[in-house]
Amino acid sequence: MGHNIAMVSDFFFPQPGGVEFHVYHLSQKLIDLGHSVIIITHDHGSRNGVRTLTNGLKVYYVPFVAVYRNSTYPSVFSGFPILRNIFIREQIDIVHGHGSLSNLCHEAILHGRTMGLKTVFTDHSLLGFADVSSIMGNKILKFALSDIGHVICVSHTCKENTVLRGSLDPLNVSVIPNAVVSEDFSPLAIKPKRDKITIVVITRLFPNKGADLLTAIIPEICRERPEVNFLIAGDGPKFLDLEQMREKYFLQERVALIGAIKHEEVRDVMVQGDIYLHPSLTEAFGTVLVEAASCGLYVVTTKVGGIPEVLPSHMTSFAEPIQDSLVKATLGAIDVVQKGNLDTSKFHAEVAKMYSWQNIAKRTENVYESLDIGDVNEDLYLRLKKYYCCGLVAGKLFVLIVIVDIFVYVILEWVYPSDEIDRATKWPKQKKGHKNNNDDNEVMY
Amino acid sequence: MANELLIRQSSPGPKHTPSPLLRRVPSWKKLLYLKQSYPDNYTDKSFLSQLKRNTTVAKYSYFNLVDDFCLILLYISSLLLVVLMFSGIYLHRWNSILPTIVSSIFSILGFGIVQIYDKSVKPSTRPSQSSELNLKSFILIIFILLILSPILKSLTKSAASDSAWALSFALCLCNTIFHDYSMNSSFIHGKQSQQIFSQYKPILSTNISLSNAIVLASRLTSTSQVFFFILFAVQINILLPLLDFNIRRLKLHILHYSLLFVLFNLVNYLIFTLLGSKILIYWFICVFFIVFGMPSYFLFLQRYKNELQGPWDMHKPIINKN
Repeated sequence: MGHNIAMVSDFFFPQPGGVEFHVYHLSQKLIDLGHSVIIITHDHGSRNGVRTLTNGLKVYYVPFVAVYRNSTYPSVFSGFPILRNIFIREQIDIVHGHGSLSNLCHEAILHGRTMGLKTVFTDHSLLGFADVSSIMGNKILKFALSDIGHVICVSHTCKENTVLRGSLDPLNVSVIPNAVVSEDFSPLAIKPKRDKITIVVITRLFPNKGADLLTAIIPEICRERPEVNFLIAGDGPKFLDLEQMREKYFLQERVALIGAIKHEEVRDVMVQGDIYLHPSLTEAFGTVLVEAASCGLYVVTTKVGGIPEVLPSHMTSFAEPIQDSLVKATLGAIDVVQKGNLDTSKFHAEVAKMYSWQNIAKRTENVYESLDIGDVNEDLYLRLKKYYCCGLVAGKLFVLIVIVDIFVYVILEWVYPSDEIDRATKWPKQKKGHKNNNDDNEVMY
Repeated sequence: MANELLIRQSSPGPKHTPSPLLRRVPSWKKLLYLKQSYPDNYTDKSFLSQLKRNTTVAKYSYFNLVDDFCLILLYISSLLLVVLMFSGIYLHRWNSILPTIVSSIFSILGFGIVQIYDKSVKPSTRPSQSSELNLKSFILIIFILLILSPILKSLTKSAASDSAWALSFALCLCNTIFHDYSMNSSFIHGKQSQQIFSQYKPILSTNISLSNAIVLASRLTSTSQVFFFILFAVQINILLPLLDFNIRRLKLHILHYSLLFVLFNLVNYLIFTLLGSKILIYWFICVFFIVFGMPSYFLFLQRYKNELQGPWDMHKPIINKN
C-alpha cells in the first residue's frame, strides 16, 4: 500500500536548478516504488493548470504570483482553499515541502498540519545568521518547522545549519544527499588523445559562486602552464570581469567562454575536459561535482560548506578559498593528470554506486514510514506550545496564526464540504514499476 | 552548552538510538559517499563541533561608551537650544538679533580654527579653493534666506499654532532618532577611521533641522525675526554638529568637551529661566539616563549576543592584490 505524497515547492520546471531536479527525480523513483506522487508549484507564465509528466506524475501549477527570486508572496492564508482542495482531491496523506526559501512550501506545511496530515521538509540550502534576509528567512523557517514530522537535509553541514536555524531536534533531521542520473553523465567511450589539458568550469558567475576567485587564478595558471586551456560555461554578473581578464592577459585562444548552457548540455561540455574546477564560496551539496566525477573528470574544489563530504579524496583535490591555495591545488591536479597515474575511467562506475536516485527514494520512503499519524497529531495544546516557544513576540504571533488557520479550515469545511470535492482517479500502476522495484533492491543491498 | 540552548526538544525516541549490538561497527564518518551502517538521522558526538560563537564581538569599556553617548547629549542640547530660543523670542519678545550675531561669530571662529588646523596637519591635501567655495555658498545661503523670509513668514498662516507645535515636536523626535551620531570615533583608529570620517553626511537630520526651523520661524511676527531665527537655527543645528565632528576628527578633545560643557549649561540656563526649576530637574534626570544609564544597558545587552558561525557561512575569498 503506497502513500499519496504531495511534493510542494516554488521551484519546479520549467525553471532549471538543483531543487527542481531533486523534486522531479525523487518523485519518479517514488512512483516506481509504488507510491502516488503529485507536485504543487506556482504557475510559470503560460505554464499553468494541471499537467501530467512521465509515469503519471501530475503537476499542479497553482496561480500564485512569484514576487522575489521565483518565490511566491508569503500571504500565509491565501493558499489554503486551493491547497486544501488539492490535498482532498488527491487524498494526500504526506505533504513534502522543498527549499527553505519557498513560501509556498511553508504555507503547504502549515495547512497540511492544520488538516492533520504528515509533513516532511527537505532543505537544500545553507543560510547564515547575520544579515537581514537570513534573519527573516530563518524566522519563517522556524515557524514552518515548529510542528514538522521530519526534516531531510542534503548534507551533514546542511543538517547542522538547519538544526540551528529551525531550533530542531537533531534526531528529527535525516541526511539524504542528492544523486545523479548516472546514464546521463557518462564519459566518452573512447577517450581521444589530447596533448593539451582542458579545465572545465560550469557555474553561474555570481560572487557567492567564487567568480572573483576564478578571475584571479586563471591568468596565473595560464602563465605557469602553457599547455592548459580553460572552458567556462555559465552566465552571470561577473561574466564581464572574466571577459576583461581574458583581454587584459591576451588569453582569447586559451580561455573559452561559452555562456549559459542547458542542463542537458552539461555532460557534452564536461567530457571535453580533464579537470573540473569549482571555486564556490558556499555550497550545501554541489551536485555538479558529482556530475563531473561521473563524467570521468578529476575535481579541484574549494573546501566549503558540504563539499568535503561529497566525493572521496582520490577523485578530488581540495583547496581553501584563497587564491594561492587554489592555484597550488589546480597545478597539483594538472601534474596528476599529466603523469597519467590516475585512472579516471573508473570514476563513472564508482559514482553510480555512491549516488543513485533509487537509493535516495528508498531512504526517503523510510522517512515516510517512520512517521506515525498518532505521534504526529498531538493535542492542540501541545502543538500550540511548540509554536509559542519560537520567541517572545514571534511565538504569540505564530500561535495566533495557527488558531486563525484552524478557524479558516472550519469555515472552508462549511463552505466547501470535503465530501463534495471530486476524488481524482489514480494513474494506473504499470508492471514496469514492479520490475524496477526488484532492481532497486539489488542495487541497494 | 550550545546544544542545550539551541535544541528545543531533546528526548530521543527509542527507535532512533543505535542498538548496542552495533557497537562494533566502524565509527561514523561525516561523509556522504560511504554507505554507513547508521540510520540517516544519526547524530554523532561531533555534531556542531565546528560551530563558533561570538568570534567578532568587540569588548566595550564603560567610559568609552559614556564618551560616545555624550554625543547624543550634545545633539539633543543643540536641538533644545533652538526650540528654547524660539519660545523666548515668541513668548517673551527676546531680541532675535543678538543670539544670531553671537552664534555667527562663533561659527566663523570655529570654521577658521578647523581650517587652520587642517592645513597644519596635512598642508598638501586640502586646496584653499574649498574655503573660498564654502564662504561663497555661505553668503549665497544668507541672501536666499533673506529673499525667502517674507514667504516663509506666511507659510503656516492658515494653520493654528498648535499644528505648528505638533509638527515641530514630530520633526524634533525624528531628528533625534535618525541623526547620524557617528559613534565610531572613539575606538577605531588609524587609516580606517579616516574612511569612516569622510563618509559622514547627515543628510536626513540636516533636512529635518531645516524644516523644523522653517516651521517654527513661520509663527514669528516680523520678517527680520524670521531671517535671524532661521540663520540661528541653521548654525546651531547643522553647522555646530559638523564643527564638533571636525573637532573630533582633528582630535581636539579639549575643544570638544568645552563645547559640550558650554552648550549643555546654556540649555540648562534657558530651561531654568523659561520653564522653571522643576523641568530642569526632569531634564537632569533625562541627561543622567542618557549618559550613564544607556551605556550600562547597552553593556547589559551584550550578554544576549549570540553570533553563530560555522562551515555553512559564505567564505570570504582571499585574492592577492596586483
